[in-house]
Amino acid sequence: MPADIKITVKHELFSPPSFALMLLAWILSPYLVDAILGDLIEEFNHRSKADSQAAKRWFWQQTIHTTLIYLKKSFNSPSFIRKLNIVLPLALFILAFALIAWLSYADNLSDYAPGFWQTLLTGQAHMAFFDGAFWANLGDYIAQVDSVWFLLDSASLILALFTILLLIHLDKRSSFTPLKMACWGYSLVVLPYLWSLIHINSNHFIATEIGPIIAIGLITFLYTILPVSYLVHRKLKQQIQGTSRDKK
Amino acid sequence: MADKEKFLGEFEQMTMLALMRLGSDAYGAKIRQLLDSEISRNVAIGAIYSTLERLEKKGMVVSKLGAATAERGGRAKRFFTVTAEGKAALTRAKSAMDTLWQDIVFNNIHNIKKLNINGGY
Repeated sequence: MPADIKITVKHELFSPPSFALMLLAWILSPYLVDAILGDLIEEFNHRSKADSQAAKRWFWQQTIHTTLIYLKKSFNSPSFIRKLNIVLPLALFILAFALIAWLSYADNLSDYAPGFWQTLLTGQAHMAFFDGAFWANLGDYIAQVDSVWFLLDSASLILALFTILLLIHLDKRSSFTPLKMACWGYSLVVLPYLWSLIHINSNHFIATEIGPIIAIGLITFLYTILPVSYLVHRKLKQQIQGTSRDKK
Repeated sequence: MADKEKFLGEFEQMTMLALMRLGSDAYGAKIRQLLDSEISRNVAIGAIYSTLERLEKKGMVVSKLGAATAERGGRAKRFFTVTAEGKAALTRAKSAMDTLWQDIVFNNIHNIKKLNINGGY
């Protein structure tokens, strides 16, 4: 019936972009999602009567601005930073463990991953993450791990202890904020690995000498990443508790 | 309450004044339209709600849900009202601004006059 067709066409023209609605529904908090979407739909309906295309453009502008505002708000919220401080170090710990296991258990790496082998000789162990050979049989190498002895390294242990003790000492200062803790802590986590890169590239070592130097960087990273994450987490918690006490 | 929270930002003041002008019909879309028509501030709805959320946490405004309507895709309105604490903060902000503006008004008029004499540049 022509009348039915007219109604359908009109309905399609007056519908706000569904993807924009989905995006907002995903980004906004349950507390405000109905109010914001309702307001946008209400104003969109008014604008559509004059110019439906302009109304859609307006709806997208509003969606993009609102999304950016709430994304920025989420990124700046203490709970997001606390979650990021747990999830990211945990993911990096798992990746570092997998890399060390792969480098320790993989046989004939020079034949198996010749491209990566050349890169490894320059100390760039992290480039394994961009090599297909690393991801291809990673599960098999992890399954071969039957002890944790390959993770023991005395030099790394001393460096890790020094890092943690230094951070605990710095934490006693009242001016040591969570941001300073994160900057100091994570810099100290990557510092041995950066040192290994510079040390290897500024000297001429034979292949068998390079392994232990890379090991210091990677194993120290593995030892320190989670304790540093915990120290930053504790510092953030103290700051949040302090702020809520001030408000009271 | 921390000292920092006693002060209101410019947009916070504008939003609260819009709420007071709208009275019982103060919700996001109306606030947005009022700011656009009265002071030519075409802001995103998210900016208004982000400000209202912050003001609600500070205790400057309170909100309540209205009924859902078909025009809004079956979604309810959230109506906002300025609290007594909010009104006091607004009065404080106005008084502070009035004090600071006292001597500057004269200088501005003087400068504007000077600009007009020089052919508007």
